Amino acid sequence: MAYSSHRSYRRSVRQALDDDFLHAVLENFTKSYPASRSEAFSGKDIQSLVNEIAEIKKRSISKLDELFSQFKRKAEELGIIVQIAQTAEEACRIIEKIAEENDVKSIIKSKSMTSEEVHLNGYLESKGFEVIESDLGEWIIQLRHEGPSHMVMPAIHLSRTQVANLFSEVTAKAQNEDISTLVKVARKELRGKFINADMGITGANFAIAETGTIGLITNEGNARFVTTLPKVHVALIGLEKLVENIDDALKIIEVLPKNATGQKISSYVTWITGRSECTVSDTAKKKYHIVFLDNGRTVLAKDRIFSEILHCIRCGACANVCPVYGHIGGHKMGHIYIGPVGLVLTYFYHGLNNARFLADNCINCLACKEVCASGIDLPSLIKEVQIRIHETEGQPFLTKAAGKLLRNRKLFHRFLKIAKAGQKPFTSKDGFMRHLPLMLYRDHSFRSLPNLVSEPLRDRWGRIKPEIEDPVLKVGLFAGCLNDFVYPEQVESAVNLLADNNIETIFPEEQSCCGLPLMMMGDTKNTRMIAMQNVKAFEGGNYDFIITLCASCASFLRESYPGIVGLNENEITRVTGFSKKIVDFRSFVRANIKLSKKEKNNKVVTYHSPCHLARGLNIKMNPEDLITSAGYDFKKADHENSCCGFGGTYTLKFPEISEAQLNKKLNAIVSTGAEILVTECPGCIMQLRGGADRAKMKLQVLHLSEILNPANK
Amino acid sequence: MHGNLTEVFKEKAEEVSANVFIAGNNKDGINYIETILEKKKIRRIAVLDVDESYSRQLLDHGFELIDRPFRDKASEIEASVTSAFCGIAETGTLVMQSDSEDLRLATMLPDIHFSVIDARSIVERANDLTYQLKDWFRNGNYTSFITGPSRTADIERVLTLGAHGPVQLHIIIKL
Repeated sequence: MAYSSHRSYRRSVRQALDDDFLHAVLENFTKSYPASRSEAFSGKDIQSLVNEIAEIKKRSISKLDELFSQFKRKAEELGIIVQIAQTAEEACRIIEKIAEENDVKSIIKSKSMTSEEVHLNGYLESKGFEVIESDLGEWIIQLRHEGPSHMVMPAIHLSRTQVANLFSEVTAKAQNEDISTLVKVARKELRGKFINADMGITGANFAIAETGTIGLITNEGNARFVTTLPKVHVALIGLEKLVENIDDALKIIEVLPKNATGQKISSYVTWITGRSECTVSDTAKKKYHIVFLDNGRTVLAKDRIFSEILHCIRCGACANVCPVYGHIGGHKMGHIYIGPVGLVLTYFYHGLNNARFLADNCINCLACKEVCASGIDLPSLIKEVQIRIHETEGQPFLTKAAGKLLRNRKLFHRFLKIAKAGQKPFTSKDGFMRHLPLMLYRDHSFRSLPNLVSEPLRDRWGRIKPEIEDPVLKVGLFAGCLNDFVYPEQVESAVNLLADNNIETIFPEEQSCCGLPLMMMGDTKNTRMIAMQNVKAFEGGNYDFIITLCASCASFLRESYPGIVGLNENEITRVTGFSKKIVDFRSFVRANIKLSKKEKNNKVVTYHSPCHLARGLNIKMNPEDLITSAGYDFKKADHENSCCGFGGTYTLKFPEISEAQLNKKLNAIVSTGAEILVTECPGCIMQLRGGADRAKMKLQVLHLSEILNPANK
Repeated sequence: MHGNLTEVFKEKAEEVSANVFIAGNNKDGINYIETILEKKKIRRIAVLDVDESYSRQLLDHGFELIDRPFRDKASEIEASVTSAFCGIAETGTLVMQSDSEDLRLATMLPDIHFSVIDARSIVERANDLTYQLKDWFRNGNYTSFITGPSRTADIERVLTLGAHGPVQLHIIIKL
């Protein structure tokens, strides 16, 4: 469904957030998925397998035309009729024609997202054919006239009560809510449909060019019936399913079930080559048609940036770990394809109108990238789709204004000084703004906002910087906006800790915002400008390292700066030299400071892992050891490395989801009984501290630097 | 080596709710089948593609063998006995060459499916079968990997065995 505005999309999102049953089922599922995935992959090197899948898909996508020709040749030798549909409509028409030619009245289908993509069922039904889905989840949603809410478990959003009511209607008999009974009802109802169907339609998980074979990875057994009983079989297959050889297919079989449902292998893998025996066919062999679907795939395959999206093997894992999906489900986070991959596919397969407001709904927590079976850089692709949409529609005013402001350092800092003065009526002594005028604040009031400090870091630096006589190391400090203008005390703790260890810290004044907010708003041009400003500020300082206390800045400066679009060769060299020196505070401390072991103080501390640390910089271990050696008791929280919900500009776009995620985190933290929450990103601190304050929790939210060097407080 | 593969196969198959019976000889296998059928009060059974001693003994002991073709007998087939080409130890998977429509239906239609495999046929991993698969596919083929009974978790993610295929899978490994 195409939303008419961002507001109307948000209203729809609100519905999902208010659905208690959906919340419970998604919470349950997302909680158990990581462990079952881990268990399925036990004994295997996951990264290695992901790399292998990525290699297979990259190789296949690079020669799609060749593989198609090879497959077609092989398949036709074996009597299969192979066609290619350029568009969704063409695919529907081709299949309609096949049905007409074979006097088909009743069609039975096994699960195929590709058939959903082209709206096949609706088309065939409008032409008078009976179309029945046989996969349990698909049959359920077909009866309810709904789309799937997950790639692999289409009816996951429904309760057993809803299914029982549905089945009672369908069978005209009251049906009990017991799930195994409901499954038996479906088994009985559909058994007859398999037997009486004239044509079976399937998709395929892979199509092997070398042998003309298709593969179906299933659990229920319905695909086996669909490809056995009816006298005609049509397989509708996206071109990107083509692989070269049997070993490629075996690798997909090895990875897909593990990543999708935490199974070592699905109950059935069916390999179909050529026309199988069919006793009701006049030729004793089944009529077998394969329709490959293009619908923009060959163009995508040649796209330097987006060809990667064709590496998707449709496991659904990205949705399983996405915090946004976890709150609102597939009907709201998607169109036909759901979840993170759906945000990209919708743009290409279902057009701008359907993607326009959906594509914004990504918090950029990087969880999907971490779990993708093919290692697709989904967050970058989603960002790129957002940029394309804004290019078509023109940049939003906020982006243009922010761009102008942030790239002019002096102007930006003057603006903040004005804002600081303007905040006076709303600030309180303990550092929070709790009572902004309602009109500015209503949707965003789920957390208290911090004050801008009266003396930012850059203004107090001259006064507070420690003098070191014989420094063992000289580090440059990149502060970032929040540590400069809102939380300078975190930096003070850090710098004094370093000073105690004879490490000199320099704060180059010409530095500005790291540029991440601009990048997230799609303003590459100004991001580039601001990046070069920062690089210049640190050049010539001859620093051993450049440290920062902000995980978001650290990740952006270190991992993303060298790849910023539009840098010339000389700039790339300078940026690379800069980025190489960037190190996050914790890693720097671990490598260069010997911390003294402190006496136990019996205070319980728990930890939140910032997205940009855990996944941006791949620092997955929590600093439990540093926390306990500082004298605290450590208690690990559930969802420790799940996003805090801030997401920078995301919290402005979708405050209700930002709030839902914040509450999820705070609940997990409450369960630990900890009085202190430690993290390593001032953005996360702003979100979590603000939320704890609003909820009147007795929880201190501190930066790691403040735990390691509390003397500053 | 094969002793070990049999153990691994049994462990993995049982993890996914298959029943695994190790038979010293065919007779032990058939006795196992009869015990299960008695318990389930099933008298009519489809037997296909196994050693003829299976059908002989079942007939001798009063069971009725369902005639082919099976297509029109869908509601009558409550149990079946077939064999598999080999097993894959790593996942407890049966590999069947299922070109024959009756063979496929025999493994899909009943509530209870018995599959007989030779212990010596068990390979370690699916990749060990690449050449065999390639050979089969050369002239057209329907190959099935079967791991455990049919299942679904589509309703509230609660795992239920026996969606459209067999509710019970019994694997008889003949030593």
